[in-house]
Amino acid sequence: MVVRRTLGLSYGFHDASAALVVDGVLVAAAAEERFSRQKHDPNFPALSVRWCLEKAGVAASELDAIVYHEDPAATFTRVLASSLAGFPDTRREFVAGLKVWLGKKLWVRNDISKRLDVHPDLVRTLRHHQTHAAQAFLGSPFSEAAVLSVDSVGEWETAAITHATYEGGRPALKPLARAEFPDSLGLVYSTFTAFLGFVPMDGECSTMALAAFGRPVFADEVRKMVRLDPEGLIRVDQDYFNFRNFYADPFTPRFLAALGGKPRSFKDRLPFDCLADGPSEAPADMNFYADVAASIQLVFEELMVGLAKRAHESAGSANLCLAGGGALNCVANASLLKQPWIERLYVPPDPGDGGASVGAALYGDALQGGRTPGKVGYGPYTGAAFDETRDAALLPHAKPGRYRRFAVRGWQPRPGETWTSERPADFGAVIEEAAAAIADGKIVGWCQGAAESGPRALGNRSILIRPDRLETARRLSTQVKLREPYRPYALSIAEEEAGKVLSLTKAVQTPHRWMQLSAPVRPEAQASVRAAMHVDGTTRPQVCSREDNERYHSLLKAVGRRTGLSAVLNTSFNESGYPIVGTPLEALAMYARTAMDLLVYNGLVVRKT
Amino acid sequence: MTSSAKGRPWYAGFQLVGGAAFGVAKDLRSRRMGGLIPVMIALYMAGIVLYFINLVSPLAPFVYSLF
Repeated sequence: MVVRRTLGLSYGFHDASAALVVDGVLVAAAAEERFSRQKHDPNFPALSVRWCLEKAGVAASELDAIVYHEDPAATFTRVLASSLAGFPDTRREFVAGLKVWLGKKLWVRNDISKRLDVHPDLVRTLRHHQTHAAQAFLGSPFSEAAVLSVDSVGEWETAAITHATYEGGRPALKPLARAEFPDSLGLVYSTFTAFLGFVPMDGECSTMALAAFGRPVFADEVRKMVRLDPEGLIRVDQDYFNFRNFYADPFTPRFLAALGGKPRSFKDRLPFDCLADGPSEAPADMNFYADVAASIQLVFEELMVGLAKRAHESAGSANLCLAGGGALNCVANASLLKQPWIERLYVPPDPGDGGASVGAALYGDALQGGRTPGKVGYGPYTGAAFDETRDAALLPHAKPGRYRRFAVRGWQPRPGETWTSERPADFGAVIEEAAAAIADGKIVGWCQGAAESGPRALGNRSILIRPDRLETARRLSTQVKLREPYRPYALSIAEEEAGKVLSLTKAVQTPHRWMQLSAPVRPEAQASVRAAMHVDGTTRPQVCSREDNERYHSLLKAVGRRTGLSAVLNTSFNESGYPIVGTPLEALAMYARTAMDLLVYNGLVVRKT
Repeated sequence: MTSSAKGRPWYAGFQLVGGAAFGVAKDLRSRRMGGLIPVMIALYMAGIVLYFINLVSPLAPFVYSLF
């Protein structure tokens, strides 16, 4: 029997990653940032590739195909055309673009062939939105679906609608409509993100979080800037935006005049707190930014619903797959699932460019035939797993007092603090100890097995506390995560008890399981999950079943036996600005630097005493 | 990562670089921007000249400092 091995690669812009598919099964997928420790690392994912190959026991020479997530020639054409279109204002972009593209990016197939020492014929490229469509559809449980992908920009496409089916065991992705640069909904959202003082391509989640504190009073102005278009999906009025000139602000004077305010400096503190007991009282100039965020969020949701409606009508399908960075907006995703014409929604674990390598690998493999239509392709736990034995051997030599100068601002270890560690023979004892600590109001670091792919921690690289303890959540924000107070935490809840807390309009679907939707909390349950709830009464849930994650589900149930609710506040195991931890040493380093009380890494338990 | 029968032949660089240049020209044509093809050719020529200058060690800093 012939074994097929396909490597998918995504790099060059942001969130570089690699994925390996062997005979239709995704055996490994990881973002480079998890190994290099550089957040959103855009470079060639050498470490991820090495790990993928090692995990599968495959040499690069044994690969049958290497698939890159976009067509560099087409992207270069767009860079060239857009920098010439604005000439002479864009002369710096022209020069910089040529240097980067002619110096490096255009020759990506050659680069891959050289680095992996493989025949050039094995290196193929896809269109970026084709990759996104494959990433969403081939992972979904559907045998046919409408696929909507929305991001900032691929080659030329900024959004695409595809009808996905299987024909003769091969996926058939039929493009139905597309929007092209500079008409980009993703870039519009990123421009507002920049206006609000956050970093574009990173701070969009902050814009979404801030929106809950404001009123959409500028929605009409935003609707003038961007609207649905019967021809090209999205139409952006370029008088408001400056997408071609990336050395200048992405917004124009007309944009500023429409909103009637100046951009926020990142130094200006936003006085909003989703853990506050009462409504936040903020000065008018800060409320302005919350109102702007609420306005773009509302219009973004309206446009996503409009695009999804068009996808549904043109593909004639009630199944919708979402991909691209736009699919990370869990509030908009929730708006989509509310629509009566969508029966089932699927969002891949990492819908952004970090997951594009998965789409490239799956599609490259599936094109060779033999796929089972409607079979779920992969789950979120595809990242690296590490053995903790070697790093645990360092623990007897650890002297917490010495880490004092590395501690996060706002926390210091107690004088004379020591660590004790243990590896109980029975994992049930580990679960019981972690559950007891959580119930007791402690902050618990919880790492198990393979890391999650994508930005969501789903119980394998998580920090957990009781969801009803505001004081513990504040300590988590200020002494562990260093997280902005306007950003809410997420909730993990055992599937059996989800109905007690969440008000769901439709049955639990995969986006509910992977924190990809916001959901309203029932009024009677709000006190019990207040710390994991946003000010608008919603939370971003992970509805966890035993099949999803057995150990984590057992932990939730153990917490439930103590507190009466099988739920925890769950946040990713990282400090602000850093990637989620991978190795035991990285977890221990964060444990040492922060106010985390207990660390569990596989079967190892570390306590501060 | 080892070489094999499917390893990289000596002409791979020419093949892939040529293929990429051809891909750009094809894409420009398909988007009705064929007028930019001479600009592209000029840029490639400049690139080739810079590549050879870069091979001369004393002159290389003048090239790689550009990038």
